[in-house]
Parts: sequence; structure tokens; C-alpha cells
Amino acid sequence: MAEEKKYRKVRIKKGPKGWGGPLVIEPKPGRDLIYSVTGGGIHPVAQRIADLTGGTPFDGFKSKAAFEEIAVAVIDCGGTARVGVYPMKKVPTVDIYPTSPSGPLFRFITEELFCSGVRVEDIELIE
Amino acid sequence: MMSAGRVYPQKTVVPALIFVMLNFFAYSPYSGDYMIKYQANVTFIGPMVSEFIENHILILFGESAPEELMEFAIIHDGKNLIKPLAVNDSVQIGESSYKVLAIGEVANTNLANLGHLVLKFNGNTSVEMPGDVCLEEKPLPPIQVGEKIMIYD
Repeated sequence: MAEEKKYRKVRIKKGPKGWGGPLVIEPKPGRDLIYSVTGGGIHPVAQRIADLTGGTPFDGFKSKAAFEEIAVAVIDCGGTARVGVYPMKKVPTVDIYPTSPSGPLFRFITEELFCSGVRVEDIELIE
Repeated sequence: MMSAGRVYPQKTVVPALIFVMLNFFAYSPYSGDYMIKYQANVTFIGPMVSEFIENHILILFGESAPEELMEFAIIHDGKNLIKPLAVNDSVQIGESSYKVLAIGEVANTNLANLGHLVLKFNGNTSVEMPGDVCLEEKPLPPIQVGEKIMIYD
């Protein structure tokens, strides 16, 4: 039998001038991707979440994944498109820029699903 | 005899070189009047682009965008940002051209890394969001696959 992967939980709080959260993220088997939809590969914030939780870092611009496999999406969105797309699909979303709900999809962006301005030091292990 | 043979080609080669260089400068991005900073062709139009058009917004992404972003975006084959966008540049989409009025602080990074651009046709001279590029408030251009997008100063 394959060894079962151990996951841990993190709390992610908003950074300076950020909005929303805190989010509690705990990857689960089959839903353990730390989905980085950022320019230039896996963002350090996504890497940190993966390192702490045991989730799998994943580059959304390189490969394809289903929403059901995503534990959290990390974006570097300037406020219009990506901020809404992942919350709309009920995927918890971390924006490294301090954006607030805006854009045509703003109604999907809630404090339970979205947290912005997040830096590496805003992520802490809770279990 | 020998020296004449050497002089003759120079007479034709030099004017030919000047001719080639003149043509290069006339048609290159560095030609006197303006510089093309970014060029692309539309390759796909997401089924939900119209939602953003109603809000006077166009979202552009390069071809590596994940599927969920393609839904809302105009996908294009642009690759290189030759020089960062600046206020007063022009964005040309097909036959329509729009002056750039404001640029958010992350807009150039997004364009260079992801081919991502958020165009807001709202006439604002200051951005609302860091990714925005605000353009003149004019009717949005008709968009179809194959349309050329060009940004120049």
C-alpha cells in the first residue's frame, strides 16, 4: 500500500493594505494542489504554503488541473480577472497584491474565499 | 586590371547596403515616428468576454493562460514587450486606436510575463486597480480571431 501523505493546516492572513481572510488551508488527498497562477513560475508565497502544508506546488501556466484538485490558488492579479475567477469556482484564493473586490466578478469575492496583499510571513502553521 | 576588379564591386555594394539600411529603418520598430512596443494577433475569444465588454473592459492573456482564464479573455500570440508601456502610447486593435491615459504599477509586469493586459475604456487618468491600463472612452473595437493588436508610442 502506498504511504499516505501527511498534510498540515495553515492560516493565511492579509498583508498590509490587503483585504479578506484569514483563510485556513488544509490540503486533502486528491485536493492538494497549491495552484500558482503567477508570472514567472511558482511564486514564493505558493512555495511557502506548499512547504508548510505538504501540498503540491503547481504552475497553472505550465500544466492543467481541475478545480476540484486545487487546495488554494495563488495569483498576482492586478484586480480585475483572476481575483474573481477562482472565488467564483469556490477555490480559496490568495492574491499577492493588496486588491479589494472589484471587476465584473466582484460579487464572488468574499472574505471566506479571498485574502490579498499576502506575503510569505503572513502564512503560519496552525496544526 | 586587378585593382579595377576590386573597385567595381564596392561601387555597387555600398549603395546597395545604404538602400538596405534605409529600408530597415523605415520599416523596423525603431523608425523615426513611432516605436512598436508590442504586437500580437488574436487567436481565441473566450465565450464570456462579452460580460467584460459590457463593463467596457477587455482582458488579454497570452496563449499559456489556463483554461479558466481563457473563458473571460482574448487570447493572443504576443511574446515580447520591447519597451514598457507609458502614458500617451496608443493601443491599436484592428482599425481602432486608443490613447493610453493611465497605467497601473503591475500592468507592465503582467504584460511582459503573461501577455496579460486589462484594458479599461473609461477615460480615467488614474487607475482604480494596479493591473489596469486606462484608455480613452470610446466605443470598444469589434474583435475577431486574426485581428491585430499593436501598442506603440
